[in-house]
Amino acid sequence: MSHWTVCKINIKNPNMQILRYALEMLAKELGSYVVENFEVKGWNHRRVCQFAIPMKLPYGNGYGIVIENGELKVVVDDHGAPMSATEFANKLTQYYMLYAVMVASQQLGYQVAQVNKLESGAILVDIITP
Amino acid sequence: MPITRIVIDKRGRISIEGIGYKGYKCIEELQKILESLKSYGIEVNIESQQLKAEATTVTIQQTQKVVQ
Repeated sequence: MSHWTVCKINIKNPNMQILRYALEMLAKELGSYVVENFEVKGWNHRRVCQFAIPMKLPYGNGYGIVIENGELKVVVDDHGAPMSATEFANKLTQYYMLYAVMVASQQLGYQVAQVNKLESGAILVDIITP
Repeated sequence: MPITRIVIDKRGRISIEGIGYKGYKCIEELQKILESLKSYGIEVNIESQQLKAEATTVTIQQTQKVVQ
């Protein structure tokens, strides 16, 4: 049995550069890389995705990202995959937030003093403001 | 130097803490950061906001100076 899953992410009209950074961070964790315009396949399903992380999965060929009407979605056949669609969506959201916070801080003229991953899996960012 | 500490949990939810600010300056900085995040597609809904004692204390002292 396979699980072709489409999971919505709570980021609207994402910044493509930040999205790419976040995906690259996630791809590194999965031991893969980021590609564009890739057809993600699963059991009885396939979908062309703007971004994808190709990798051999029990029933699929990778994790894909689709942007429809500004909404971000993860598509994957995640049965037996190292990361479920929900876990992938959560991590992508976390990494997107991290990069967005860092870029926003720099644009405001603030200095990022430290970035640390905590034991809980959360990421701490300290910003020095004037 | 005042610090804004942002913690992004495993689900991408954030909590923000102002450290070393005087008065309500931390709220102003928080608003600037949240406004900037909006331009990257992140809409932050504030679930709760708590002021530390130091914010209230400093404000009271400032008010007292005005009265004198």
